[in-house]
This record gives sequence, C-alpha cells and structure tokens, in this order.
Amino acid sequence: MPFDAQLLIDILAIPSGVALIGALIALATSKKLPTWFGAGLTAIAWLAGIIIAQYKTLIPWEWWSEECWQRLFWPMGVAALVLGTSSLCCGNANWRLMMMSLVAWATAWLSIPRSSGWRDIDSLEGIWMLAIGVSTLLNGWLVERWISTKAPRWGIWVLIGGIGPPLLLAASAYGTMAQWVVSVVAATLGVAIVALFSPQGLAASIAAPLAVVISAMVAWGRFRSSSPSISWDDLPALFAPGIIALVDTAFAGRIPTWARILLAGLLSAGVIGFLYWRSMDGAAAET
Amino acid sequence: MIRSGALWAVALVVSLASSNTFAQQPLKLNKEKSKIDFLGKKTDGQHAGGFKEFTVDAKADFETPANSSLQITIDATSLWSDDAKLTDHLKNPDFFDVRKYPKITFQSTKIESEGEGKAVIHGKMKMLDKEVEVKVPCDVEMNEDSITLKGKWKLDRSKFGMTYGAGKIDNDVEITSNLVFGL
Repeated sequence: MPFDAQLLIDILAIPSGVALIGALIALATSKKLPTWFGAGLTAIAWLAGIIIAQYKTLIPWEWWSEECWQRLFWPMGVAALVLGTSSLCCGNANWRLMMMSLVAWATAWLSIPRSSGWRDIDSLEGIWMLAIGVSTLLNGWLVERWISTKAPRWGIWVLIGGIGPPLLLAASAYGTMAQWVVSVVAATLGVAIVALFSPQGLAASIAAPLAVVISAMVAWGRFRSSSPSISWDDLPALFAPGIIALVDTAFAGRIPTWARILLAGLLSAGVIGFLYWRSMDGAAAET
Repeated sequence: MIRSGALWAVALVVSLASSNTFAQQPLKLNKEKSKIDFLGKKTDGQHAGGFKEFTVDAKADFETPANSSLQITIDATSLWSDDAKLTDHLKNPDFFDVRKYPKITFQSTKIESEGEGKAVIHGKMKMLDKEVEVKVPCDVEMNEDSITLKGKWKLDRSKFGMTYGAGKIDNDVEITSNLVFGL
C-alpha cells in the first residue's frame, strides 16, 4: 500500500474508528447503565484510538518516553477518566477544581523539553509553564462548565472549533507530532459523530483532556521548531477553547443552534487567521 | 565521516608519492573549499542538503599510512537544505534531533589503497547515539599545495534508527564529501 494511504489509515481511520465504535457501545449502554459509565467508556475509546494510531505509525511508543509530549498520555488519561466521568456523577466543585489544577500543572511540566540541548530556553520555562498551566485550567474549567450547563448534543462541535488554532501550530512543527495531533482530532471527531445522537455525557468525557491537549499542542508547536521563538501572539491559541466556550455561553438561548456553531467556527478561523498573518509578517521581516 | 575517510586516503597516497617525510603530520583543512553534503530521495522527488560546520582532526603518517588517523566532528545544528521548512523538519526528532544529538562524529579505523588515486576509508560513524561501521570510497587528488579527498557513497539512515517516512523516503542517503587539505 502506498505510504500516504497507509498513513491516512493509521492516523485518521483507525483513531476515529476506534473512538466511534467505543462511543457507539457507550451509547448502546446508556439506557441500562449510569451515564458516567458511558462517559468513561467513551474516554477509554478516545485514548485507545490515539494510542493505537501511535503504535501504527513509526513513533516507538513508551509508557514514559524521553519525548515529553508522549508522556502527555498521563494527564490526558487522568483528565478523561477522572474529570470526564466524575462531571456526571460527583458534584464537588472544589475537588474537581483541585484535580483540574493538578492536571494543568502536570501538562505544563510535561509540555516543556528539558534535556541538555534546550538550555538556551531555560529562561522561558517559567513563564511558559505559567501560561500553559493557566490556559489548561481555564480552558478545562470553562469548557466543562459549558458542557455541564449549556451544551446540547451538538455542543462538542463547538468544542472542536477550539482545536483549530493549536492544531495549526503543532502540525507545523514536525511530522510525527503532526501525525499525533491529527490522530487526536480524528478520535475526537469519532466521538463527536456519535454525540449527535446521544446525551451530552459523551462530550463531557473528552472535554477536559482536550483542554490538556490544546494547551500542550501550542507549547509543542513552538518549542519543537528548530529555533523556538516564544511569542505573545500564541496566547489566543492557548485560550481558544475557553474563549469560544465563554462567547457561546453568552449567546446561548439568544441565537439559533446553527448560528452558535457558525460563531464558534468564525472565532476559531479568526485566531487561525491571526496566527497565519503574524507568521507571514514575521517571515517578511526576516527576509 | 567522509572527510576522515578522505584524509586517510590522502595520507595513503602521499605516502606512496613521498617516502621521506615525517610521521604523524597534521593536515590542515581548508574550510572554505571543503564541504559535506547529502541528497535524500523520496518517491516523488529529492532534496539536497548538508552541514555548514565541521571540524577535522587528521594526522597523516606518510611512512606508515596505517598509523594515520582521521576524526571528523560535524555540528548537526548547522544542517541546511534546499527548503527552509524541510531544514526545520530535518533538525527535529523525526530525523537528526539536533537538540538532543548536536554532534555527528566519524573516526577512521583503517585505510586501504584501491589503486592509483583511490582509497577506501573504514571507520565508525556515530549519529543519534548509535555507532555504525562504514566504508567510504574516495578519490584522492594531489597538487603542489593541497590534497583533495572526494567521497561519494550511500549511508543507510535506518541503521541509526532514523526511520521516519520509511516507504516514502529512501533509507539510503547519498553523501558527497569534498575535503581539501593544505600542504
């Protein structure tokens, strides 16, 4: 099979297929079993789709890899299984906020490379850890609040809109990272399709881990270019999901569903356009 | 690595030409005229690149060529290619991972004469923390004030664990080195 076709199967078809099947099973059990169980099953399928895609591509999978971005599996997993399922069964907001803070801190810590070859960016570590941690926490909190109070079945598609800007940054970094990011999006789409026909619990299960992934993708996209340049221009990408959720919350009940989805898409496109314009502006300045 | 092979070949050739010189003579690299380039091929095209910075520690024993030595250290961060985005990608963990492995080294172990103006330099190349035995065929050109070692050979990148794009990007990378030493 041609390389490109095989790659598409590995990073698109497999993760979306695994996540979709898992979400369908969760949907089938939703009438007999608690909603949190379906959310947990969906989260596991989502994570499984991403891991299998990584196995299938050429990235050697390790449970605790030297590559910091491969370690992100852990905060993602905790966010999906603990926060995703508990949002539907355990209402202690303080406990959940504390857990989200821990996840945000772990995400920030794991997103920044620290081997001897990265000494030249040591001075950036603190401020970037702060930015990543705050954005993860804020994104997670806003999206979760939005999911649990305002989001209808199609709500996950608004959430997906927030992936766009960080996806652009991460995918432009380098091949295997781009493949990983595409597999995350593919798995999310698999769940999103099923979520159109199911209770909002399915979307809740992957809202928190997506907040983790989104912040980390922005960090990776910046640090993993050969000449890392940290820019305040990246902040809209870090906070994109939270911004979209916040704006959507403000308009909920006032405008029709299609307009809310359109608004989320426009906001995401706006951030992408801003990033693209700034990158073009920078490239022009260098020449 | 190519350079080191070339240096040894030079030493060998020189030794054949003049047997009354001194042992373990250091050779000075002419950096401006020397280069180490590569050509990577894929199913739908090819890309050229190379390394701008490298050092060569060459000692030629003109009486006993086998005692000569050649060591090349390449600054992997000086990698260039014919496309800026590709250069970034090549520096990342999919390929050279220059942040983690900033040096590529070659140490010669044996030099064999292959007839007039030709030699094969054997050595150990270390890249991505993996050491691999390599053979570098070289043409040796001498004139009054310089020795030039020209090597053109294929390196199997997969032996160093560089497997990204296998099936689309050839494992064999064509290496071309042109090392010029002043006399």
